[in-house]
Amino acid sequence: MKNSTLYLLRLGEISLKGLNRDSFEKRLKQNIKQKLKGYRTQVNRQKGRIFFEISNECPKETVEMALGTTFGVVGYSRCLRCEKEITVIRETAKRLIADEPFNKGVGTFKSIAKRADKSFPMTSYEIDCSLGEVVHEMYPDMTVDVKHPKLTIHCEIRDQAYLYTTPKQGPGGLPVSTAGKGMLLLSGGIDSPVAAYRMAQRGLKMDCIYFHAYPYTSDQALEKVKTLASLIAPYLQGTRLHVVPFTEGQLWIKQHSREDETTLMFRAAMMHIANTISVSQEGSCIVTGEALSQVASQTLESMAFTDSMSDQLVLRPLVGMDKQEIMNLAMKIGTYETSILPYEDCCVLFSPKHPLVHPVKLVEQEHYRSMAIEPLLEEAIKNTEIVDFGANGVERK
Amino acid sequence: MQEIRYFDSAATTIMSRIALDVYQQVATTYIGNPSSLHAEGIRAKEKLEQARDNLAGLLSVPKGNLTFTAGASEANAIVFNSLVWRLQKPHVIISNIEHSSIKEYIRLMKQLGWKVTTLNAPGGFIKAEDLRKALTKQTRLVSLMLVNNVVGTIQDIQALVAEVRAYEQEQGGRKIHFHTDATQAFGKIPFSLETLGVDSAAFSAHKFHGPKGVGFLYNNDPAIENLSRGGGQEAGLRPGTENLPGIVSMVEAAKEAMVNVFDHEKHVMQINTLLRQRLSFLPSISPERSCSPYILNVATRPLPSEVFTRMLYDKGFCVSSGSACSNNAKQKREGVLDSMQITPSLAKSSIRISFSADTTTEETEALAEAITTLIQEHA
Repeated sequence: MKNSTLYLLRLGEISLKGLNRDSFEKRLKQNIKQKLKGYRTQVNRQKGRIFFEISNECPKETVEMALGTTFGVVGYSRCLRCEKEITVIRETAKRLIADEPFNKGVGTFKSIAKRADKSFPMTSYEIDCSLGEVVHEMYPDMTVDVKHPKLTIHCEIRDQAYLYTTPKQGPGGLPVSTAGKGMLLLSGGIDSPVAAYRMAQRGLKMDCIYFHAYPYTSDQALEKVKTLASLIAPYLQGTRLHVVPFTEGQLWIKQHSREDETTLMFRAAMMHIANTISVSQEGSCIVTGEALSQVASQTLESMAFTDSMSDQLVLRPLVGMDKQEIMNLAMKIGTYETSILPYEDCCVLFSPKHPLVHPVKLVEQEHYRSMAIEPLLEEAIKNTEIVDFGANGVERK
Repeated sequence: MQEIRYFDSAATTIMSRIALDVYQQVATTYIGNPSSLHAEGIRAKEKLEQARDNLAGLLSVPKGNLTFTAGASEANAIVFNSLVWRLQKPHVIISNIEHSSIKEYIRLMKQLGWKVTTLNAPGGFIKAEDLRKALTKQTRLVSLMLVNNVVGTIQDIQALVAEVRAYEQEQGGRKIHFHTDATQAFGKIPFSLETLGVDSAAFSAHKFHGPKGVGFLYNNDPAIENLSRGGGQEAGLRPGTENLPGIVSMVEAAKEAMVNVFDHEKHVMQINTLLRQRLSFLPSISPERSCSPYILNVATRPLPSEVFTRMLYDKGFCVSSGSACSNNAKQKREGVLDSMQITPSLAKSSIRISFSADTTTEETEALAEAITTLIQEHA
């Protein structure tokens, strides 16, 4: 391909797969291409590596954004390819290190050569020495440190020679859609986007569901959730947000349940709706951001009760995590700042003063049934609005 | 589009026709910078000083005591920042119901090692004896607002100033600066700066149908210093090129408001009384006495104010949620209502309805009906 840039992608866990490895690699290739639609690309899979070539029309930031948010990619680096001949390799190395991050010309470095092609006349050590010399010639202030180098120059001798510098980190994990599809309960808080990230990292594709109770919760709260959906969309390879009108349901529950049970009943009704919509979207699990004992509706007993409202498997990737850990991850994936905006996801009017902390499943199930809320929930499902977000995070109109 | 009926004039008012015309006229006719030496600059300077003259006349104060600012928050900041440069760490007294442009200074002041006393205002009123008790030999600044922006209570500033002056006398005459934030008072309730006896006062044009982003500081204390440094405009107290169209327009709006202050007050009082009667089934947070008729704060229990505000907007009415605190029960509440010792359940459901001279009886009747219906629906 002319006028293009070559990237070398390192794959982590995928490399450990056996006979089905091909399907994981194929999905990863599709996922990357999906994010870079509209640009000429060429993908060449080699053992444990993907060589990915993209037209220079695509800005570097777009490529890096795509690779940095695609699960399955452990690391990536811009890569130069040349003929397997040491003088050519040396010239190519010069071109490579004329750019970032070597071009500052200070600190320590190391060269790591690997020969997949053992017929190459030099040993790996000899290649390293030769490339070290190139670096010294260009940046005399740089010194070699083989144990803890700041920067590394890599040279792989395969069908051709491939040169690249210190790889940038990718998100790791497995490519989205290799593990099936689920439905995420997205609330607007800190936890649920993190839960989405964790499950997507294991290859789960997800739609999101949000329960909107206007005017008890504001339209700003809905906008916040849309922003969160757009922020996690690149990790999820695009997502569909289902906005369920929940005002009638909430009012019904408030009128027909005991005060201390209201939150539990909300959760149960939400689970019921999420289950129904997930089934209709061909999903096979529900994902929530619950963590054990974080609030009254997240105790063992409460979760056992709300679980019983869904036929599908309910996954809670954050269940054993500390709040600070969750917050750190939220900061890392860039959702924290949006999550802490002060728009409430539940009106104080519906929050019981002393919620039930240790409900008895059978009793609550009976209470839930006796409310006869199903017709209202069916109506809510019917009136659900859908907002689609592309793999680039942009809302599709 | 739905017709909007505006009951949030304490947040901002709609610019008057005259003020808008004057703004446009000055912006297009007076092109020069008042600091420029050419004829256009001199014309602009003359216009600026004429505006200051007019404003001084309206307030019956020396024109040299008036500094044009970007609004009341900046005017407050100039006074508070003056103390930052003092070597000795002074003692400052404010009240718990001050505007955030003053309350936010508490944190900075404490960081700088100042002593700060925050007076409570049970029911919205600051007691003279509380102020008296709080005064110390180190007190250098007392700042108490004239009309509260959340509930509308009017402080007896004259009596509070008298307390401070009496204390000054006792202590041998060392000066204590008395500042008042008069933003919600100007053009709404009649007052005289001279009678109040304050050293400085802050004002904002957009609260009396003038343009946004302009206001003024009245100050007779030479110890007050500038907030920012620059080209020496406004006698050095507020550097930066003067917002001439804004200033002239503000003075025009001020004139309009002052000339009609009694008529407007009477009209708004009628509207306020009407609404109080119609909503007599709701707890009123604004007291009936010593309260600006322009503000009526009521509790819409059990609905939280934030929710009620949205519901009213859906019916075409703009009001404010009365409490500055969030509806989140978990958050620590620091609102004005809290410090007024209003019970949390009332505070959470308090909405601020505020009027202007343009508010009509019909609109008010419609608002009363809308509130009544909503409360009945959610009782």
